[in-house]
Amino acid sequence: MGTVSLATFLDQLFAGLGLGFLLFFSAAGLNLVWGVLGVMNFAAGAVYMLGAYMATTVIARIGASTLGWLLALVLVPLVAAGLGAIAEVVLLRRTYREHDENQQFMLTLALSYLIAGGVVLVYGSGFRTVALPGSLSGSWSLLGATLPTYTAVVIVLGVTVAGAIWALLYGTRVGLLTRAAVDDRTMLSMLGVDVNLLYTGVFAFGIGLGALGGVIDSPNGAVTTNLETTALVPAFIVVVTGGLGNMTGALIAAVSIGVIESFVTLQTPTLAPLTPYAVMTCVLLVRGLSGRRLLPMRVRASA
Amino acid sequence: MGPFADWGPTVTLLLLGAALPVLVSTEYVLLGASMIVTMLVGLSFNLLFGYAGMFSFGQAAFYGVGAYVTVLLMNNAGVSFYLALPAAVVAAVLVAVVSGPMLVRIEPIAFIMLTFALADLFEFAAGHARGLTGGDSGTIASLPESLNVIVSVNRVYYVILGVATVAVVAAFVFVKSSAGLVLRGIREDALRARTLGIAVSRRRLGVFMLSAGVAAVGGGLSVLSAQIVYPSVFAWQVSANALIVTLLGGVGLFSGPMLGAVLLGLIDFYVGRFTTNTLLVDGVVLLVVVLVAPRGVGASGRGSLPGAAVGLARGARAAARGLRGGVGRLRGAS
Repeated sequence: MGTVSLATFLDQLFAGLGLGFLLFFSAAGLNLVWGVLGVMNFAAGAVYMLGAYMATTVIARIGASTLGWLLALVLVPLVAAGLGAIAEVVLLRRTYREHDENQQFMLTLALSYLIAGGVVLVYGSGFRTVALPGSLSGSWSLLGATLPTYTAVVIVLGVTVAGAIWALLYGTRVGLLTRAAVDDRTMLSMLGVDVNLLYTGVFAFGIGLGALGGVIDSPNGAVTTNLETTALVPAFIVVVTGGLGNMTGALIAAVSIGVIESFVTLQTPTLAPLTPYAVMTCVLLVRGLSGRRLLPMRVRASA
Repeated sequence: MGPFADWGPTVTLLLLGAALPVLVSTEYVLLGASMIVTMLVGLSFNLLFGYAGMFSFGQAAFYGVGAYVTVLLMNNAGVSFYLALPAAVVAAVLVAVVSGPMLVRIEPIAFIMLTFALADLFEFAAGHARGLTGGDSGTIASLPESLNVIVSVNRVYYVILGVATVAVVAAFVFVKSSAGLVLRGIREDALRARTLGIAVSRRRLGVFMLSAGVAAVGGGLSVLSAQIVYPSVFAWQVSANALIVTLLGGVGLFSGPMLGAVLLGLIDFYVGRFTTNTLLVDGVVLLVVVLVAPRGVGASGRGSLPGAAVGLARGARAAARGLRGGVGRLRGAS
């Protein structure tokens, strides 16, 4: 390993943080839904892909301007969250009483097929691309390193969203009720809280987060149906590495994996996509497979 | 459920399979061959999920290893198919031996996620080792004329059916053995099994290895029916298909994946004439089955055909009720 200059180091650090926070969006949605509802949402990858495709539609209509991007960032997650709420009410709500994890997983698997089929129906199987507006495609110079504006935006958005989730869970009444629902759903509903509405809200929120990840990722390369798998595998790995249901763990895992992968890219670009697997294997071996939690902010004890 | 429900449909299907080339045209013989391959991956999933309660979403990993090792041994080492296939099965079992100790000890939901990640890891490797696999362009199998599906369809079909029958019989013997019974005990109550002195993790590892071998047989046979191997043999859709056919036919019912593979094969074949969007079709099939009969159509009907019809009707009513309720709730909410 040759010496790495400060500029190169910072370059890779910025890229890694951008990658890490991008990972966090899909992983956070997945983890929150698992933590509160106990549903492992396989459709998270399809939602991410759908978000990216819907972003191409918004940008095509409004134009690749700052306004178009702001609209895509707000509208797409909202629409996705609405669709998620419908799916939760129609499909998932009936499954909570029996709570068969496998059946719920299969329902979300069916959902992912339907979303992917729908995307092929609407957009065809070819790829789409979107361009960034001038206001987001520049870069800043920092100690000899280049910080692309868009990477900075992703990092700021990531920190904001992570902070918002934390504030929501620990600073508001809704967050209090959500945490209470994890502990004892029946008791909460007997206290007069509409737990169904709460679950719908959490699921919609998780879906919205995943779609937001897709929107943010859309200018990074061609938008294809492959996005489903390329988004889902790292999200699964982040969630398992951070500890199922552990939001702080997911954040730390996502950012560390992003940064490590970025530095591995510098040395051996072809092996970089293997980083998530390697990090996960090491963490699991050290922590033990039983999933002992080292970190607080656990929203669900695993089965 | 009588014992006949377990082996009756299997024997019927195998006999029907043996008569297939006499009964139908080449097009359907090829369809039959692909059904047999799907059935084997379904069987490997059923061994894990139906009998041991282990929900694997990575059977594609072993299916793909079976396909690649078979084709690479034949192409690069000039090994005959009949030696390459067993070697591929051994390779897949070795993969299970290496990955299994960690996987069988992890919590159930993480088992789903990590078996899925395992298959994806292989897909990445197959796509990037271009020198060996040709990457995304695939590896064309160099087969002797006697095993060329275009030249001698029926012969290749009978090889596939014959090898598959061996795997099915082996799996059946295992399921009916005391080891199979112990596994079902673990499925029902792992803690109690452990208290009784059963080495739960070792038993789970054992069935994980067996199921890897069965999936690899399917992968090796796919080399004959498809004649080319792509990295997409590792795609999660392969694992999902195994799940769908098992569910369609009945979870934990030995004949389940076989019935399911025939059903899904027919559905995809006929619907495929109207649309190329099989994603939507398979999604609807999966959704209907999960809502109507979560333990499988065959299981809900207690294994008999009239029973299956009753189960289907009962489930359809339940689904309609649920849908009405869901729509009503939506209306009420707005």
